[in-house]
Amino acid sequence: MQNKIDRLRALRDATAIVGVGASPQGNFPEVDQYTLGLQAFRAALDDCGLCKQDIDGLIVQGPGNISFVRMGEMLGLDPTLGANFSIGGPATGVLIHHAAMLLASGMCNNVALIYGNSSRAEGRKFGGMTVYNPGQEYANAFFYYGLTSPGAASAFQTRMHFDEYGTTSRQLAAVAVAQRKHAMLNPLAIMRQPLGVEEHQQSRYVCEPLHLYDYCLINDGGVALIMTTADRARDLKQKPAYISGIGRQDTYRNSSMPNTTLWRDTMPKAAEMAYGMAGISRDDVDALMIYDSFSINVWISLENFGFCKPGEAGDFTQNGRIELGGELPVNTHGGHLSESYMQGWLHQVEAVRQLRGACGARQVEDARIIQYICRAHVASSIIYRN
Amino acid sequence: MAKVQKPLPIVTPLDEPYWKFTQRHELRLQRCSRCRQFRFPASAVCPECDADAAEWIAVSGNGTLFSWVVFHKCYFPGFAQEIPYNVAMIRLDEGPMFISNVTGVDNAALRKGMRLAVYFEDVSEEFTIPKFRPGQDPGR
Repeated sequence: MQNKIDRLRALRDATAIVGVGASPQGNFPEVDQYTLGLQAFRAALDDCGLCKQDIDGLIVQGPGNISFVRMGEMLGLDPTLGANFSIGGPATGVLIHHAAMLLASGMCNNVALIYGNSSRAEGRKFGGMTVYNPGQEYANAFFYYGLTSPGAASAFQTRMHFDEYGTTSRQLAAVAVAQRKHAMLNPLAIMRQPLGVEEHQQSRYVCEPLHLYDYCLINDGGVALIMTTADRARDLKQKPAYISGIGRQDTYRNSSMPNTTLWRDTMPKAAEMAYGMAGISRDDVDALMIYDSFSINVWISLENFGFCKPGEAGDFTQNGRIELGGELPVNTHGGHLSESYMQGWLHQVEAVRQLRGACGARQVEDARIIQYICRAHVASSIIYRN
Repeated sequence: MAKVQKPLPIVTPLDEPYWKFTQRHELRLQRCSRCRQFRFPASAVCPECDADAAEWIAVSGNGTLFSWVVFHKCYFPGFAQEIPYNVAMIRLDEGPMFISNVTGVDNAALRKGMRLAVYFEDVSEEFTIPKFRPGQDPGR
């Protein structure tokens, strides 16, 4: 690991996100995922002052059928390269890592990452036959028992956490409640009415022990990021959000089964890589953006990245600690639970805007370092600084 | 109106023997011929020792409940009549983790560590699916 970190340090602050854009978020049956992605892309170009002909790396992602070739056709672009990575939400951090490497290596000068999601319009449930994919891992290995959906995998992890540490659903509600408070300060957010612990507890189960408000939204929208090298970044319109550290660790063992390890053995390696490359510690982090397809992700991420010990996240997340104004604000935009389900892409937009000081009522005071964490069998992290 | 069918297993060359044995109401899992680790689901190579060769070994069908979830949302029309239904992870006495439904007990009465035993449900001409219900303590 140390020799990897030593070499990765050459990439510290070598690349940056210079433009961010988002389409409106919600229910848009009249348009498709390409249109939403393109709206966001235009906004991101405008944000940084580049034009589309400057883009020579085109990364395109989404939960449905969306391809960089078709997107490039619509844009009239012949970039040096296009790419995607079909692993769903965990791809987000990974694709930003890859963009940073493409820029640092000299393969590309300006990379656009365009995300388009029409899940609501298409009726995608993230479970059942809509995820039918023969030969793949857990996604559909046990359909004949009615086992399906990422939510079920997270529900297993939730019960394991409750069983092993005595944590409770009532404690877990603090995650959803904190993020709803944040969403109420975010004009882009879909869910902006107050949410309390009791309402969380009384909401229906989707896959027990997870309640409705432990689940992400399913909606339509587009997001785009523009990345470039540090020297180019300094000449553009906005204050750059430098990529200071990246971390990644996968595990494929037993991936046909719902995970039983809570990724205790693998996620800390992604943390070590990210902190080692950035040369910072957890104490330097001003806010966290945590991939929250389900509330339990936040606990697992906090524990495995060392913000608290395994089993302590139940207590750690109480009494406003993860809320704006608390010791460690988490998902200041409202996250997937309350803002919008853009599979981690809006988490990056929020990190960048926090580092620009552009978040208005939800601004983290003097934000200098923001970290993104995504738990999964493909775990990733990004440390941003301004 | 015809009963809506539940999803059936997708048979691959690797696990074809598994489904052949369950049809005969036998639970057999693939086990590495060299290091004797079970491979479930079946694999072309042993993740532990890299050996290819494997045998299909009969297991007792006894195990303990490791964890479970309860589906309140219906993702498959064929399961609509069973909502809320559980899906359980069961640690077989021989070591491997197994996925199944636990029947014959209220979802609210499921407890980690409870003893479970396999039974076989013939769901179609071709397929028999192993399921579990409360079983006896070992040694009784």
